Amino acid sequence: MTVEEMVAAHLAEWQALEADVAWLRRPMMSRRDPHRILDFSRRYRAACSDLALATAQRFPAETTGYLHQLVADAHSQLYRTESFGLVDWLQSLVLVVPRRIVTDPCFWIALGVFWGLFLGAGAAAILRPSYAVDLVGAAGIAKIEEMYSKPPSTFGDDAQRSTMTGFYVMNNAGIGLRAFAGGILGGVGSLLILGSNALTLGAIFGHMFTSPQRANFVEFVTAHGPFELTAVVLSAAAGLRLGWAFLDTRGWSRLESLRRTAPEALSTAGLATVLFILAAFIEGFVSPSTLPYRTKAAVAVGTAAILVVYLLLPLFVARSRFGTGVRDDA
Amino acid sequence: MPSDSPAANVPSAPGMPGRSAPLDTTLVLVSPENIAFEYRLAGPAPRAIAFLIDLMLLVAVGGLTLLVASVISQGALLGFWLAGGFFLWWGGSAAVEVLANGQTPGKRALGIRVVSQDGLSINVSQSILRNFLRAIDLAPPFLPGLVSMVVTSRLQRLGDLAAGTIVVVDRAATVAGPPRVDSGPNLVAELVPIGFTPSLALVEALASYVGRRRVLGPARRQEIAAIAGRRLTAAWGVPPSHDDDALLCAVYEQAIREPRR
Repeated sequence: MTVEEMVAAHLAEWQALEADVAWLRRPMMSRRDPHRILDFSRRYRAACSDLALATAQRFPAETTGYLHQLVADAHSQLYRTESFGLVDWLQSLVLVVPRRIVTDPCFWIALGVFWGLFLGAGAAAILRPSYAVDLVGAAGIAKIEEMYSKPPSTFGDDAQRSTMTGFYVMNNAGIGLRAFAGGILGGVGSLLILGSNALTLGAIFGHMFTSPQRANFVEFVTAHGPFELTAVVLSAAAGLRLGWAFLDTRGWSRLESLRRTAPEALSTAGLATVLFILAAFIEGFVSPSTLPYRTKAAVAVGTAAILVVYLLLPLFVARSRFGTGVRDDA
Repeated sequence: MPSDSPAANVPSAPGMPGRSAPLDTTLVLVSPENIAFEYRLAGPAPRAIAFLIDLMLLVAVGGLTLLVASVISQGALLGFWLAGGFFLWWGGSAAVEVLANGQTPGKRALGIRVVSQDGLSINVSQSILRNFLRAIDLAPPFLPGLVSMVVTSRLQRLGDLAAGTIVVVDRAATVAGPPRVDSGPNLVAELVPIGFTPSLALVEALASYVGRRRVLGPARRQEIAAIAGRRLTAAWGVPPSHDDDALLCAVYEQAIREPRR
């Protein structure tokens, strides 16, 4: 068979396959037509054998190149990956993700680094008044002191509070995702972002604790503290997991190990983002509200309790009922 | 996602004789039908341009919505705008890639597409991962993503490595027929001996010559065609042709017309 005969005989089918691929690429799942899908898979297999013939006969690059593209496009439509399942995702978020987090050394490392540096910087700022100024800068400290010279309930009207909530989402959750992304450089980026945030926050906390604005400061930061600080730790833990997969490959190649670990780390980073968003709403609407401090403290205790139960409870749920939560290939 | 697919970078599949792997940015994948098909990988330049287009779109959307929000609410909607900006910046591309089968508007404009490295469409998790990790790929001053694209064989940035994705060129469907010699009557065709059957490799080489000769000047055509033309005339035992370009075209025309045995 010559090229021309082959093209003449099959061009109509190839163009029909092109049209099928364009049709399948449309996201309208409800319009799917089973007969056309059957035709599509038949045409795809026919195009595969046409490509084999064209390659074996060394047909010109114009023809084989066209067939390569056609087969590649059809292949990516015929063999789909699993789509997103909301129920599976929720079940995994409640049962698998927390167990994976607390059994992951990366989480405990991130937790230790954060609280170690945070408490260390806080103690240093209490013991040596110039420490916070050296670390954060005189202008920054002055701005913070000025902000907390008034009680939090005077921090603005509802419009300003919703603006601040949006800002907290963008800024804090953005920092969290950067800490996650930075982990791919062997975990270094995560540790840097985690460490610098822990030092800055610790120094500010320590400094404000000894300042005259202490009462206003504590009243503001109490309610959203548990979610926000845990979210920072979780983001960095997710990044560390990425970096650690690159170092400890468990027998895979480095890239394969990274690729297999990345979805797990992503679910941790997603959880951290959810916590950041919840914290932003608390920080935007509860922390600066006129509610008594007792209520704000109750919010802090409640959210901390939710976190502890969420993270630790799956450890005690019978493993046989919900699977081990450990990856099958581990 | 298949955990251990055979879709490795294999030079030639079993049962697919002949061609060695091209010295090119192509990726050969093997389908379950035991067919090796090729993807052409997209390099950093079109991907950077596609990203800039997406960025400009994002800025335009952000600017317009900010304008609308400030006009109708005097700032009360600013919080929604900021939170929306967060989702759009970190998740917008991912959402569009999933819905539009691996193409953001910028990628569509440049004719490139994200696919999974085993040739499948990307899924939600892959798309989110590669777009989250864009933060580190664009980190100054070293642009880790660019470095990664240069040193990996599949031109992957770090986000692609973690998500297991590649960016491929989405060639427009072109005429599938063989290239044609679109010059007048061939005056040297009678030089070709009757019954001469060129090898498959020669026909392939001639096809790629004929496909490209239209962009070459007459002198350059003769210079290139002489390499094969002189050998052919020497093998046939006839004097060298004065027009090697036409000679090769004649051999090619016959080869694609006559059925092979």
